[in-house]
Amino acid sequence: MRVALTVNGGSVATEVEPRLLLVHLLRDTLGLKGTNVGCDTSSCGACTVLLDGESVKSCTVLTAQADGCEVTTIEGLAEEGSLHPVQQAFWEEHGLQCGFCTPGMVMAAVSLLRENPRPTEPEVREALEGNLCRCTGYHNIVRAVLSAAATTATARQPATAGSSMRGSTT
Amino acid sequence: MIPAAFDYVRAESVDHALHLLAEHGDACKVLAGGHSLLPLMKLRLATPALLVDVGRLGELDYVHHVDGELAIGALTRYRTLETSPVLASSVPIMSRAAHLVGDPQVRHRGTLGGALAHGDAAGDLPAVVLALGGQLVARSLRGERRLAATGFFTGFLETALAPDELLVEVRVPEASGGWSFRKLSRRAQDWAIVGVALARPASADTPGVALVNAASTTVRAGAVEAALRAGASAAEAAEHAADGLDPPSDLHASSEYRAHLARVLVRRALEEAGWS
Amino acid sequence: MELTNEFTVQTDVERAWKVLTDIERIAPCMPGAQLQEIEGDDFHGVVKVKVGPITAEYKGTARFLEQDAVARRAVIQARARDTRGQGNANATITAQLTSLGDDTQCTVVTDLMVTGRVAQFGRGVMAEVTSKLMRQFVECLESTVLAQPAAAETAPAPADDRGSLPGAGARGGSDGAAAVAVAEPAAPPAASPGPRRVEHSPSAPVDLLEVAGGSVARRMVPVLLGLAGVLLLRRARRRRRQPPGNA
Repeated sequence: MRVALTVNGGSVATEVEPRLLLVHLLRDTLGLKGTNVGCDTSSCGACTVLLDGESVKSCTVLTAQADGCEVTTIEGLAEEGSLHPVQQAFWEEHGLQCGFCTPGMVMAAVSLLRENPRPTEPEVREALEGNLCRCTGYHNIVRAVLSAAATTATARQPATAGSSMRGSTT
Repeated sequence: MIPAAFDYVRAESVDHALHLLAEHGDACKVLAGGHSLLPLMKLRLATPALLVDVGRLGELDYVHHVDGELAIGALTRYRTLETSPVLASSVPIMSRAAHLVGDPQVRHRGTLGGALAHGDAAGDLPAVVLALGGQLVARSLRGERRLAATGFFTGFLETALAPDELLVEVRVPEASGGWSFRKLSRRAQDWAIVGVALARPASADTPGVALVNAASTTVRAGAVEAALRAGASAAEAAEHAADGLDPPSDLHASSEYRAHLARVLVRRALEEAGWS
Repeated sequence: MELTNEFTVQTDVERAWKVLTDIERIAPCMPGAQLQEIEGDDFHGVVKVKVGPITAEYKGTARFLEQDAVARRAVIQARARDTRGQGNANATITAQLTSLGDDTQCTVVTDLMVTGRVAQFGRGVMAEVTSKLMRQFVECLESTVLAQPAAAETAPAPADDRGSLPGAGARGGSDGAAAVAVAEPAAPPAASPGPRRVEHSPSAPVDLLEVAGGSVARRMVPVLLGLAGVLLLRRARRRRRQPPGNA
């Protein structure tokens, strides 16, 4: 069957079997290897991408279901050479070790912050329930997400001439 | 893991879906959120020849408050249930239970109708609908019928839906009085070992109590409900939680532990809902 | 795991023994089963089952390990494997008949060993399923094989009593369940040295959604089928990968 969708801003139109999972379209057809296949049983979240802006586990979505939709993978986050605030925060807060869960964690965090821009720590932990990490014990991941939230909140302050972004309250 | 090959058609309308179901019956499966069906297909435990994707039927995605009842479209996602102000004020147990399902990624895709039609005893929302004494609206080319939640879940992964029927709507009464939804899982995002849904519709004097994963189907704790009607205290009524039930025994818990858990959680749920 | 089932048939113990030890005769009553070939003492066949969205097919062999006509005790060994490679199921089934005058009580103890996906299945559901299947099996026996006049089955050659069995509708009142027509065997068994094909129609997969009803809870997966389904899925969902390196 024919599908047409947008991946990281670019149009993709191709012929696929109905049973092609979205994660396999991304990795094998489009060569976007950032999204990982971890458990393949919808548990670990390493395959998390954004589908029309919401986090989904791409191992449990058929490409056919994504027809006509917008998909964003980890490769599509950074803009023009600078890291997305969440990516930046993961770097600064050392929110990864082996990095296998990281793309999924980042995408889940991006989705979380869209829905809840100022989460508390328990809310972050709960919101990352769908993403498993074997290395870090989650501690720095949570710090990274909270840091990204603070940065994003700060950056969202309207800029007025001459004012400094730093230290503004929200 | 890759599913066995199948044919796929996207339903353009409810009517289109009904025609497909009438034509293919047992040979096809309805695909909504896919988070119960696709995992089974990836394990090749289920190998339907045809998938009828109803996921884009926006006309089945709604939450309406109508005459003391909530009419919820079958395609309403958990995320919508979780965040709906209408549900939060009139049937808060549903918002709460939806929030506890799986994880955010699952909640972005899974649907209320899918959970009910799949009929998994370990599902949370079926217990909520059962405790509320809700009704399920099933439509086919032959017409429409309303099925009471009680009696809808007929067996392990089996419901009263006919092969040519599509679940289109779920109706539950307002129930903003004392309620509780509790479940115990060992790890985050695990299925419940046992869960309890307790809610009292405005029209009832005593609550409806339903259990998650305490039997091979979603069941009401009938003995608890009867005890409450007879005036028993929370502690006394809770002792009957597992009466007449044969809880499943598996890698997570023995049947005895599940029975024990049912009694404990029912008591806590009653207390949380304000029953003593 | 050991599963015990008991049922009573409205037939005297001698006749019940004769019928119940004639696998070829009662095979059509086994839910979802199709007997395909008889090779010496081995009965080869397949069993197909459907539980909600899940389907499975097991292919296997059953043979008598013991038949004690005096004590009315039989032991059957069955071995089957999922045709899609999802596991094996082996069972030793001990059946004991006890006379209750005009009726006979049959106690069946199944020692079931499963491997592969099947092994994750909870004991409770399997026990319920086997009970359910036993009930269907007995209902079928009562309405078909055991309902016949006794004279029809005293002839030694299977060809004689084979043709008198009713055809479709092996299970009274249910549609969509195993509907089989039993035909003449291809060759007289006594003379044939090689495997004997059995011309039973393939059964429609047992769809317990359509069988029985009312308040009877329908559980699924017969003894030989490893439809771990959701239970399996829960297990699989929690199965963690090995840490890639040092964690």
